[in-house]
Amino acid sequence: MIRMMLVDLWRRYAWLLVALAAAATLAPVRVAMSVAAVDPTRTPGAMAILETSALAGPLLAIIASVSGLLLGAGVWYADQTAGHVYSLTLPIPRWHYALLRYASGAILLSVIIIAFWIGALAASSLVLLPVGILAYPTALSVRFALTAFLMFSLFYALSSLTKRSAAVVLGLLALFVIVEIALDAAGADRSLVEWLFLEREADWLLPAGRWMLFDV
Amino acid sequence: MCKRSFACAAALCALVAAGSVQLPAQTVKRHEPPTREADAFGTLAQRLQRAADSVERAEDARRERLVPETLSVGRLRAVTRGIPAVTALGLLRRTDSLWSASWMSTLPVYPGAMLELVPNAPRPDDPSSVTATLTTPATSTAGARQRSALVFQPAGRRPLAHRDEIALAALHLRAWIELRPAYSAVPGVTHDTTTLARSAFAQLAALPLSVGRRCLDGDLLACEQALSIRPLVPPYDDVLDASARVALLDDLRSVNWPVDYQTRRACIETADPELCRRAVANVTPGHLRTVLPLDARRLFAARLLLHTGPATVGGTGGPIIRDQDIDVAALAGDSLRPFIASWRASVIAHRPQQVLPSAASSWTALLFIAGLAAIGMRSSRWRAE
Repeated sequence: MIRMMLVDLWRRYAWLLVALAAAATLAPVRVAMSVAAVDPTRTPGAMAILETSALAGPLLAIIASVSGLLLGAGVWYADQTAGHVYSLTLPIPRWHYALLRYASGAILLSVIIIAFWIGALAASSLVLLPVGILAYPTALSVRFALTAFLMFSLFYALSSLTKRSAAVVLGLLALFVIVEIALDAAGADRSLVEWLFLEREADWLLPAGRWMLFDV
Repeated sequence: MCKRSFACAAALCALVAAGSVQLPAQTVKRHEPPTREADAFGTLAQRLQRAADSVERAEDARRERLVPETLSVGRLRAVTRGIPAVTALGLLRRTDSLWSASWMSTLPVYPGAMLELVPNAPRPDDPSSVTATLTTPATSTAGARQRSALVFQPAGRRPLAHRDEIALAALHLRAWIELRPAYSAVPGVTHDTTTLARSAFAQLAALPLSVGRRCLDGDLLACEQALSIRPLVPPYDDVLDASARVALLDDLRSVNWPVDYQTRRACIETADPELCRRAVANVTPGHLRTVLPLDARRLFAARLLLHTGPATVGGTGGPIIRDQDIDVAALAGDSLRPFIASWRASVIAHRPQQVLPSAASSWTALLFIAGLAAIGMRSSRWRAE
């Protein structure tokens, strides 16, 4: 049954999966090319590599998050449009069916994560790194995988809520973002995220942090 | 279940969304130096500060009496009249490195004050000496200018006036702390010690010279060299390997240094070890200092002088010093090493977060993943629709 689900997901989202896998593969390569582009005739300076790597970090985090988000919501899309008729006719418990849905999405998400890992390994081999700077393709891939699965599970859970509940949760998230933007626009000294999580030393809760392909 | 856990799910969503982006302050760790070391730092800082203050008070008294005083730096000796010793010392340092040049410039020495050094014609009775006029803007009377005289001579002609060694070290240290290289990326920005420590770690780790990484590994002698307290000696074979020489020459490209462009370019392009070694051997310790980690020195200075809290080091008004020897290590005695050890501990404590998520972070993320998946598998949507 999981094979059927995979085929179904692939038929629905092939273009999306290919695009995400391509983005995940090419993003670290782009980082390496940016580093090398500082001056292709010589070994790039250590601080220039760190700055370029830090600037590209949020892009990698966004790719991981968007991959998880789209697949997490996408695995339920067929059932939601059909009113869950097919799933209710199956002779298996609902949790079993939901588990198969989760597993099928996770398998496709793993393909994107592996694509990112391959891209990061390739990118690491493209740049001649100066003394003191190291490449972290596998460590960054672990961070990428944790974030992608976290977002996947989050939106998998959100999509399984009733429409009303999901709308309220998404509304709260939107409100959070709006307040954050408003505080930033007002020139506040600290953000809501900092006040809620960082100043209370809760930063260990999540796989956030350094998205650096090249670091000290 | 899902409806009952709605509030919980909403809270989890907010937590997860907050963690999906990189934030600048996410690696903040509270760090306080050990009390014993902090006391040692305080002792040294206070000792040097008191010495510097006492010297300045004595200088003020001498200046009032217009007693001439002799100071010596490198090849130069100055007889000062009517100016603070610290001013003369700073001026001597700058002039010594520029002695051979035909030179006229305006030098900032005190924050907010300017000194004009105008070389005059050589004195007829002693062609090897140069008389310069030092002009400082008066602070008490608007528009008035205070003039003082400095007579520069090659060192070794007259006996040096006796000076307290610790007091001189204090003056050296003060001048060193006020360092603001001309290439400072963001002059005038206030750095707190946490920011400085993070930056210092990265700069030390990425330094072409091995002293940066040896310092992080615990070699305090290397820390002194990285901080420019103990000078590095040409040809720097003990701190540079072949690839690091190329990187060093590349880093030095924006500095007016005494190796011609062709030699440097040839080294960078061919990476010929012998050519690069010869080129690097011509780099003076003063020039080498320009690639040593500035934020590491600023952090050291901030911890030494200000001792607590946020510090402003290297503001726009600081002096521009390119070539300066510091002998704080020899003169400060035994208290310097614990100070450097504490400085290093501070840098290590602010090591950037690892790219690989920590075990706690990973397990927490896995728990969140499992919890959210469980919520999804107990879907209420089927029942609701």
